[in-house]
Amino acid sequence: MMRLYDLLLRAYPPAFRDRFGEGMRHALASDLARARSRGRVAAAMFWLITIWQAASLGLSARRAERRQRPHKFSPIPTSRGTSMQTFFSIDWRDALRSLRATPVITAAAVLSLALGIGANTALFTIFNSLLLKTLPVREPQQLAVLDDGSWTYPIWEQVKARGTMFDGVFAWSNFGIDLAPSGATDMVAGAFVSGRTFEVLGVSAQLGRTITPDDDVRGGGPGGPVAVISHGLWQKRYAGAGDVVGKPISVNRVKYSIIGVTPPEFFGTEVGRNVEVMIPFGTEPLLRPSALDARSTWWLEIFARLKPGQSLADATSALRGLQPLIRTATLPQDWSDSEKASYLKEPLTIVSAATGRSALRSRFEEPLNVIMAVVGLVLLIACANIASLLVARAVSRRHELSLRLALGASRWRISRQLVAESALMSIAGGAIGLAFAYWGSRMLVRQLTTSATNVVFLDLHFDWRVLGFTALVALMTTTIFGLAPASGTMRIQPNEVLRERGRGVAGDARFGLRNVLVVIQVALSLALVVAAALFGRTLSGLTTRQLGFVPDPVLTISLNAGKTGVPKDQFGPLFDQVVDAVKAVPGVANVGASFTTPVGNAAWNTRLEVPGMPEASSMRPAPWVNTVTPDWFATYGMTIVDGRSIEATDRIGTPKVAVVNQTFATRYFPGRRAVGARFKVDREADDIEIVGVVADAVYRSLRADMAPTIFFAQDQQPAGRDLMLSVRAAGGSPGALTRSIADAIGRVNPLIAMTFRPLSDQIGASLVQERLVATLSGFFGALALMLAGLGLYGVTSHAVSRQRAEIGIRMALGARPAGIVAMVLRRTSWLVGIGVIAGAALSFWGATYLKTLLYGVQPRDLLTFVGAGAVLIAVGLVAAWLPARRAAKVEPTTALRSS
Amino acid sequence: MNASTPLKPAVFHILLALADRDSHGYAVMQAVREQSGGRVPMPTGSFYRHLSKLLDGGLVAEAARKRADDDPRRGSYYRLTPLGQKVLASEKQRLTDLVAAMGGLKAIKKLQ
Repeated sequence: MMRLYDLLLRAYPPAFRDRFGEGMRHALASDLARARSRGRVAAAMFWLITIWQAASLGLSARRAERRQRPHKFSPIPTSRGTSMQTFFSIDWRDALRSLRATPVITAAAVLSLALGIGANTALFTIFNSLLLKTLPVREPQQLAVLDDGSWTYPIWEQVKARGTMFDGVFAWSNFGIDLAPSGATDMVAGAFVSGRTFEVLGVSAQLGRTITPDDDVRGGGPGGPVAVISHGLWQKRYAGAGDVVGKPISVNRVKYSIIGVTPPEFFGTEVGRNVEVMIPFGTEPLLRPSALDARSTWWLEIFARLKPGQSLADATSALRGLQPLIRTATLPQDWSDSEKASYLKEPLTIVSAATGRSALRSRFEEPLNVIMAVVGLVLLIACANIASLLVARAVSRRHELSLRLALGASRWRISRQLVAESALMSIAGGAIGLAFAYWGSRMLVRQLTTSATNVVFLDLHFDWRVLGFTALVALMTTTIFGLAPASGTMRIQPNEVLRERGRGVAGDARFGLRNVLVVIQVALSLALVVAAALFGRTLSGLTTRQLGFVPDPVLTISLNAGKTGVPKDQFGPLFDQVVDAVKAVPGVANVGASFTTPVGNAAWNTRLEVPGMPEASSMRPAPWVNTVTPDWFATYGMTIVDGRSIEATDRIGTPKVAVVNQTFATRYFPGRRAVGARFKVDREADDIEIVGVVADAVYRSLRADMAPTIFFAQDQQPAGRDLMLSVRAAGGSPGALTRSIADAIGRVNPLIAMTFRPLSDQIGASLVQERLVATLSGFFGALALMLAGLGLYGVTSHAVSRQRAEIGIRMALGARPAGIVAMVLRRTSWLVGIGVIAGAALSFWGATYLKTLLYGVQPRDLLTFVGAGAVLIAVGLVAAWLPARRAAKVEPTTALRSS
Repeated sequence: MNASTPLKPAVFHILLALADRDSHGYAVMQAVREQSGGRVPMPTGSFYRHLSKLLDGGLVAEAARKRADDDPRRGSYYRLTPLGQKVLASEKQRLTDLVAAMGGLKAIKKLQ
């Protein structure tokens, strides 16, 4: 991997690098490690200092070297220089001096450029890591995966037996692992791996050894169950201790022993997920009811390394040759004939896995695209702004430039200096932008992480792609905003210097260009403000949505009794004890148990048979199902609108009952009372009687409409090993109860695994995408507004200063200050008006692309468009009014005298 | 290299660190940061610029590697030349004289 400081070292002269390169690299690496350990601010300071030093000391070292070198020839500079050297040599010092002469303009330009480039680079860094970077393994281009998604273990065994058609095969299955030996869970990302996984990937252990085929046998190898841990976990939990190999580690309450540590850059096969603990498939039966022989449980991915010269098409056809054998040997026996036939026919395909697999890609692709478009627009606005500033500068430098022309400088040479100035600003903006992107991308990725079990991990180191992208963007911006002023010099006449300055009123072509730039800025800003408003309204619509339940202060606790040693048929009584124990905890108002919680991770829907209704129409949409205890509705503040709630008398042995929500009642029993009606579920023999109707509430997704939902009695279902508890606190934060509830459950049985999460947290996490898009588009919308305001202000005040003489004459002839203000505002109103109309048209066209990301607001919402237009007009008026007021205060005599 | 005193604080600290023992670049940087109590931050770029001037001026020279088992990635080892020792000694004398001179002034005591 290319390190940023390797690149920075190149700023120093080659001889210097030969002499000290090794030592410097070591020193920088050591300092960086030190700075990182002290936190983000220290690391940022490190990079700032190092970049600054490379720029300043590197250049001064180069200069010193050049001075020592004897001149082979001394080129005589001529204005018509023809040697290649003078043709390309640019006087950077002149450019720097001239930029320093106007510090405010330079700072404004560099800052807006840094923000524009930084935002683009930050987004590109995430794109790069998510979509472009190859896995950090040996020859990633040769890595392939069996399309599409997941396979059964029997299929894997068949492929493994025929592995010689590739350079090697392995299986991988992501699996959340709980490292706590008892009590509350301590979840990290884990994975089941097959015996040759590390060998085929070409990843060797940094410490100890990796998993081998000997470890991957059912029930564990000769050394018992073993685990390989990641470099990160080794550092975090074991402080990088050298004797970690051989130590025990608790995996879902089963004792494993650590045999090795993977190298720091290895994160597994899924981009976005950093796997911390890897264990062999063979040990899966120790952890849960085994799926190793299940023929219709799809839970693992099959990877292959292609032989040298073997193409994906070759590999696919080799595999298809064996497909009948593989499919027949693994046919699920209990499937229907038509399902069996399609199982046998479905072709196996091999696709490239060089960049790994990722669930994040599909999840964030759309919002990332939108944000990328937003930051692209911001960069365009920044460019327009800078071009506008530079044109203003060029115009006020006409005197200087025409003097130089008169003294014999070539136009080419003058243009070159202007381009050099733009290039310098681009380089500075690009460098600051890189630092900004470093933080920006990390901050963004942190926002994507929604819980301890769902940590988003992306490798955000800058590589050649990111640096190339930044360089390209900087180069592009230089071209865009550098050419405008340079082209202006082509029209300057040497004899202008002889004319009087300042009297020019009309007929200035560069003004025309500035006006166009301002109109473009206003239009693009309007589009961004519209987008920001739409996303903001989406987010506020979702956060203020009527949920149908009261989320605060509810704490959810996920329980798992799988490792308690309690026999299966005793889970019910065990959970009853747990519920009673939690009820007795001081500060607890209500406790409900259920299969899932609202906006939770689990969902259950079912087929339905309602008498008098055709099956097809009862399927769409399939109603949601939850099982609840009597207190559950009270815990969530949901009211029964008809009939009764689930009651404690609804136990196994009594007739099955259900409570349904209002949507269910009106959908399946239109025009009649649902209470007392009966239906059947999923080929079950028993009729189920509806005993009550409850008010509608959100089931899983905040974006979905209220859907028909059935609530069964928890105690009429066979108890499983998992249960969700919902606890309403009597007051205050539900998180404060965590400790005492954990103790109470631990007293019932210390081996019950539990995971706590406040419900409001879970709801917040489900909105991470909307929040991210709304926050970013809001931020960039505000930035765009500011830039557009600055642009308008600049163009107006420049126009006013050029018109000083004219204004002075008007006022001397009796014009009132108000009339002068109106005159200036009229001009700006035109620009803003055209910009707003163009922007509205642009947004009208572009908004339809946002449709899938919006909720509760139409893409072409009139109110949003009018509001955004009003905001831009207000900003425009303020930006124009300030210079207009100044103009109206001008004393006519001063204005006339000074010109 | 103009070896005439007064020396820049950073340069003085580098010479002082090398007077103690021969060592590689990063060790010198660390020693400077420590003995100056962090007042001389000594980033990598500055250190090597100073070092290159000291090498060119003949105050410091590359030393033979001390231990065979040392990590070669750390770069060369450096030592103080006799000239470097002389410069350091004279700078030390100059500073001592200065401090002694200040001790004799009443005005300084008032300031404290």
